[in-house]
Amino acid sequence: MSDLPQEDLPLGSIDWSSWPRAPDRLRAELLQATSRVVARRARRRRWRVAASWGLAYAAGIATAWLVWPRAPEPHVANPQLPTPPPIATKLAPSPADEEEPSPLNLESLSPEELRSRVAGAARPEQIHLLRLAGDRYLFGAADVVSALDCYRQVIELTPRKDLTKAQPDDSWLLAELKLSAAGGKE
Amino acid sequence: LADLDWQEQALREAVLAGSETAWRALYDAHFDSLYAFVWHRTQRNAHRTDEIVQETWLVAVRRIADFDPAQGALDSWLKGIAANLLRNHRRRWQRDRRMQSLEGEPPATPIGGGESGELLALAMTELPPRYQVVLRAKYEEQLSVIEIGERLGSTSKAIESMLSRARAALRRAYEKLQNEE
Repeated sequence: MSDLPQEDLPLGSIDWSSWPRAPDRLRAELLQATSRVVARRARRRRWRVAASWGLAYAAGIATAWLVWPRAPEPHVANPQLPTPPPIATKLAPSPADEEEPSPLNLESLSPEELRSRVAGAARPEQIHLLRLAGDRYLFGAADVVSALDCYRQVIELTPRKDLTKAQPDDSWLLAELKLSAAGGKE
Repeated sequence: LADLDWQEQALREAVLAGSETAWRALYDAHFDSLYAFVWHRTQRNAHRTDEIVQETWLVAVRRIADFDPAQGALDSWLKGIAANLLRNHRRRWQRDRRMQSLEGEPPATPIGGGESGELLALAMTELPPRYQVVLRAKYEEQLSVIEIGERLGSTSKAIESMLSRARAALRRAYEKLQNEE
C-alpha cells in the first residue's frame, strides 16, 4: 500500500527538531495539582449528598413527630410564675361555725336531729333545716303530720314575697302549702 | 467526531462527579497538544510556555463545568483558554523584553525552519491531538501508514483516511494564518 502524497503543503519545511517535548516534571506536577482539585470536588460532592440524605431523614423524623397522635399533656403549672402563698389560714373557729353542720352531715341526719338544730340557727338556715326535715318525714317515713308541722314552720318563717316563688325542689305538699299561704296572706 | 463528543461528554461528567481517572484520561490526551500550541505562540520560550500551560490546566480543571461538547471539542476549549491567557500576559512579556534589551540581552530568536515552516508549525498546533499524532508520525518519524496503524491499533485504510482529513484541516489552518499575516 502506497503512502499518500504530501500534496502541496510544505510539510517538509517544518523543523521537527524544534517541536516541543513537554517536560515530564511539569506534566507530573500539574497532573498532581489538578487532580487535587478534582478530589476536592469529589469530597464536596460526597458531603453534599450526605447532607441531603441527612436533611431528608431529619425532615421525615420531624414530619412524623408533628403528625403523630399523642395524649393530651397534663396541665403543669407554669414554673416561672411565683407560687401564691396559701390563702386558707387556720382561724380559730367560732362557736356558730362549730355547730353549723356541713351539707354532708345534714344528709346523714334524721328529721328529728335536723329539727333539734333549728333553735339558735339563722332564719335562712332554720328554713333550710325545716324543709329538709319535712321532706324526710314525708318521703322517708311517710309521716305527713310531722311533715305538715315542719312545712307550717317553713311557711311562717318564709318572707311573704318569697312564698309565691315556687322552687323546683319543693315537695308537692310544700308547694301546695305555699300556694295556699300566699293566697290566704293576700 | 460524534464518538469523540460522546467520549468527552462522558469524561466531563465523570470529572465533575470527582473521578480522578477520567481527569487523567483527558489530561494525557491533550497535554502534548496544548503544550505545543503554547510553545509556538511564546516564540519557544520554555519558561513562558510552562507558565501558560500551568495556568490553562488550573483554569480548565476549575471551570470544566463550563465546557460544552456540543459547542466544540475539548481541545479547542483548552486552546481558547490558553489563547486568552497569552493575550493577558503579552503586555507583561513585552515590558520584560524591553528590560532585557536595555540590559543588553539578545531577544529570543526563532529556531530555524524558515517562515513557511514556522507558519506550518503554528497551524499544526491548531489541529486536534489525533491529527497531530498521525501527521507527526508520518512526516517527523517518516512511518508508513501500516506502521502508524500498528502503533495506533487501527487499519491502514483508517489511517489513510485520517491522514487525508488531517492534511485538509492543516491546510485550512495554514491558509487562515497566512490570511491573518
